[in-house]
Amino acid sequence: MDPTLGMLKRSDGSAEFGMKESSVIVSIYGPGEFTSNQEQPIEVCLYGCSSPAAISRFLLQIIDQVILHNQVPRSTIRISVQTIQEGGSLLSTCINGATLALMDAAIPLRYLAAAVTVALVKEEIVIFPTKAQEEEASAVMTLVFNNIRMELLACECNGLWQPAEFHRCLDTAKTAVSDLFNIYREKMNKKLSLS
Amino acid sequence: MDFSRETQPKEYYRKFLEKDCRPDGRKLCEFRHTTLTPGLISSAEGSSLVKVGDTIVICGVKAEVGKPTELHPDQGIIIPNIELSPLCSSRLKMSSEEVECLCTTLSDLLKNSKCIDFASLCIVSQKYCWILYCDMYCLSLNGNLFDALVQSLVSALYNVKLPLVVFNEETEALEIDPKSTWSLTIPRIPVACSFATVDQTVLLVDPDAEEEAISDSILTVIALDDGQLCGFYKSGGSPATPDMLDRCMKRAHARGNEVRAQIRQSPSSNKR
Repeated sequence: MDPTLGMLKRSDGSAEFGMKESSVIVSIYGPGEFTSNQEQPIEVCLYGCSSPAAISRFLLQIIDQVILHNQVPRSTIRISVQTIQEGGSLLSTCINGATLALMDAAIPLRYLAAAVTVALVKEEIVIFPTKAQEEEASAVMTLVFNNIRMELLACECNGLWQPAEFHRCLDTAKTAVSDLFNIYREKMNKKLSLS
Repeated sequence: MDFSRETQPKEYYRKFLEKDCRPDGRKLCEFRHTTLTPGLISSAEGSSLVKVGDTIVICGVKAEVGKPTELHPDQGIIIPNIELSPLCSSRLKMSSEEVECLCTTLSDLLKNSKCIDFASLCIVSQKYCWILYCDMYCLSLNGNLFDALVQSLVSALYNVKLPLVVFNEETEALEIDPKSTWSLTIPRIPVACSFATVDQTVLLVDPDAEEEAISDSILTVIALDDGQLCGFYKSGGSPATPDMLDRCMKRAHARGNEVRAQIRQSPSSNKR
C-alpha cells in the first residue's frame, strides 16, 4: 500500500490509495465557479463500484465537515472516485483516497480525516479486512477519525458485537489511523520538497 | 410574536438547551410518546402502525410462496420496501437512491441481528419458500424516521401469521391448510435509538424535524435484548467523544427494553 499524489495532470488534485484488495483513484476539480442551478457546492461521484449511493452519501457528509467552507465561499468542488479494484474495506479506501486528493488540490481543510475498517473475525480484530474476511466476520466497522485529538468523526458498524468489543475496536482503529496520518505527512513532505 | 424560531432556529434552541429542556417540553434524554398498534390491516399477513410523536409509519407484510435464491436455497426471503411520498412532509428531500440504501440497511439488519430464523421460512429446499414483502409507508414525518421504520418492521413481522403449507410428495403439489397458522419465532428484537448532536457537546434523544435541521450529526444505535449491539451509525459531522458514545449505548439499551416490552405485550388483533 503506497499512495501516490498528483498523478493526474489535468485535475486540480488527485491521489491513488490502495489497501490489500481495494484501490481507488480520486480526482478533484475545485474550487470552481458556482452556478445558481447547482444544488450542492460539493459533488461526489463514484464510478465502478457496486453500491455507489451508500458510499457517496457517507463520503459527502465527511468531506462537507472537513472542508473549511468560509475559505472557499460560493465555489464548487467536484470529487470523482474511480474504483480500480473492489475488495474488502472499500468505504475506508475511498475516504482515505479523497483526503489525500484534497491535500494534493490544496483545498483549505479544518482537519484531516482517515478511515479504518475493522472486522471481528472469531474474537480477533482484523484491520482492513479482505472481502472473504468481511463475510466471515461477526461485525464489520468503518471508523473515521480526525488528526486533532483522534476524535471519531463518523462510523458505520454492522454485525453483532458487545459494547466492550466496540471499545477494543476503537482503540485498535486509533493506532492504525495514527500510522495512516504519518503516511499522509510523509507523502506531503515528499511532494512539497520536489516542487 | 416570536419570529426567532424561524429566522434564527439555533439561537432559539440554545435558550432552551441552557435550561436542559426542549421547546416541546421534553428533557434531553426523553423519547416522544410511542404507540404501537399491531394487526390493523386484516388483509395482510402481518401489520403494525407505529407513532413516535408525530412521525407515523405503517408496515404491512404480505406473504407469497416462491423459489429461494441460488445463494441460499434453504432460506426464505424477506424484502423490505419503503415508500416516502410527499404526503408525509413538505420538506422531504430523500432521493430514491437514499431510500434504496435505507431498504438495504433494514434488510441487512434483519440478517445481521439474527432475529429471524430464515430457515423456518423454507418449505422445500431449492424449490419453495415463503417470500415476505414488508411495505413501510410513512404517513407523517417529524424527524427520526429510522427508529419508527425499524420498530414498525419488527413488530409487523412479530405478528405475522402464516398458513401451514405441506409439500405432498405423491402429487408434487403444495397443500395449504388455512385453519392452522403459525407465527415467526423472533427470539431477539432489535430496537433503534437515534440521537442528534448540537453544538458538538449536547446530545438530543429522538430528534424531531427542527432538531435534525440544526444538528451537527446524527447517531443511531441498534440494540438487542442481551446487551449486544447490531448497528452503530454516525453520520459525518461534529466529532464524538468516547463518553458520548457510552451515553448513547446506555440510553439505547434502556429504550430497547421499553420498546421490546411494548412489542411483546401488544395484543395481536389479527384475526387470521
